[in-house]
Amino acid sequence: MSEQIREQISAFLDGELPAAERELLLQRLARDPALRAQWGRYHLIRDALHKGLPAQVDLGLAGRVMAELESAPAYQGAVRSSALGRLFKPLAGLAVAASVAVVAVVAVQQTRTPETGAVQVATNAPAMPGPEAYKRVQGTNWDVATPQVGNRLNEYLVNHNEYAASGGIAGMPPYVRIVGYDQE
Amino acid sequence: MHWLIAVALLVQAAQAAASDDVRDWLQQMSQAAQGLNYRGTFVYLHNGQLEAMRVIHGVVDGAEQERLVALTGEAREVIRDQERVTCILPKSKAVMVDRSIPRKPFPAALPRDLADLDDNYEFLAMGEDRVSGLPSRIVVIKPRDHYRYGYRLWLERDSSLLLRSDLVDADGTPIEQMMFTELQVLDELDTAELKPMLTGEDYTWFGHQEKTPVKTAPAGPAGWQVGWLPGGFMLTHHNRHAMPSDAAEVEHMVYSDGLATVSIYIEPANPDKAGLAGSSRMGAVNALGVRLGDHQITVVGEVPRSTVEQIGKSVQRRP
Repeated sequence: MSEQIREQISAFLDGELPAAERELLLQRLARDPALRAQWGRYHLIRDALHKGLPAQVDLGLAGRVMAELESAPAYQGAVRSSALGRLFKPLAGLAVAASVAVVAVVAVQQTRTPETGAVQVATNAPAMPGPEAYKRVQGTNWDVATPQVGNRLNEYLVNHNEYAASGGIAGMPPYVRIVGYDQE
Repeated sequence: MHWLIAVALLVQAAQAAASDDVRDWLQQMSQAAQGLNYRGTFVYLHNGQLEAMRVIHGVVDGAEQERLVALTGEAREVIRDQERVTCILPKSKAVMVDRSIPRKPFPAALPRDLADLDDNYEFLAMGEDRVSGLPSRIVVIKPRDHYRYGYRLWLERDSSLLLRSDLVDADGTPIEQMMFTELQVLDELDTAELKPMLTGEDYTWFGHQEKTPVKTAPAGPAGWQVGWLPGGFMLTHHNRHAMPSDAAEVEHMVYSDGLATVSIYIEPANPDKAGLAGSSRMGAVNALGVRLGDHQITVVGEVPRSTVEQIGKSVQRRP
């Protein structure tokens, strides 16, 4: 799991995640069981920090809610219509289902500290992405934990590239990837 | 998907007669790319990002020289000559220098290589098209398994220069695409065009400004063994050398199937410099980092993630 996702989950729990990112995070939560588990753990940590740890901790809750929702007709309908309408409404049905799933968990786990951010998701249709989702994408870099690891990989990439170009197809300018790499 | 259907329909018609032609064209492409003077602008699309770049390639006194300039974003440049590769990175205010390795014509001139390539790839002529206003031939190189990527190449009909290239996964979905929008073959090239626009004067320079030695690793049993490789991958280099940013030696093994190349770097783990843990990706290049005892192993290659992972996890210290 990347640092970015961790930060997103954390911001989400604090009600500070922008709407556009919230939507993406919810979609990811719906797809990714490991992430849901992580999400549950974050909740625990957060509750512990606020000294609100429940007497009994239910670690499997997020997964079970998800399983329930998967077998529910409404969820399946949403997925199917999303598949049919993919050209026009990419993943809209799935996003709704995901929001519902997450909200259900939030509603159960968060009775003591209601999340205003999460409650909004329950009542709203998937929000349109905010302007930050449209800003120029600059991400030629590696998806790594620290810049140092990225820099090291860049050195490997330059070095590897020399050997790759000496043995593979000469044709594509071999340094294309490297020129791509000094972006943020 | 469409690509697969198209391949299926056209295979029988194209196959038998085309295969030899296709390899001739690819050889011509390789010779043209290394031997001609040219200047062109191309776009590069990867991970949903679009960049434009300019390439200037020349043969100066019999030696290849190349300059690549990013036209979008920061004005990054890469200059390559017979001795070194210099990457000028204005954003980091850094200049990184590494050694260059002489290029070989494709395929690496041994008859065995052609047969090996056939075991793992299918070569298909897919008709003609137009790219940057020039007539071109389409060549498809289709992998025979999921361990490697495929290629769709558009070669200019007269010069055989590569005008467009798609690197595709086993389903034909593009991972990385490059296309010239303008390309000129030149009789004469002003060598000033091969000089960087940025001098890098106030930048941090790191790397091999002096030619540092690359030692061939000792023959006989190496300290490490690679337990698994996809069919056709063979060891092409086994060296020890320093990386640009520090003097510590890295053991480097290069494996190639004739088209795709995978590098394995092994070094003592440095507590001050965390290595890659797990998978990462840039365009078509996948990387995997694993710790094995007190060593850091990093696998880098333009092959699918699962291939890099399987190779990385199979590296063992020789008993």
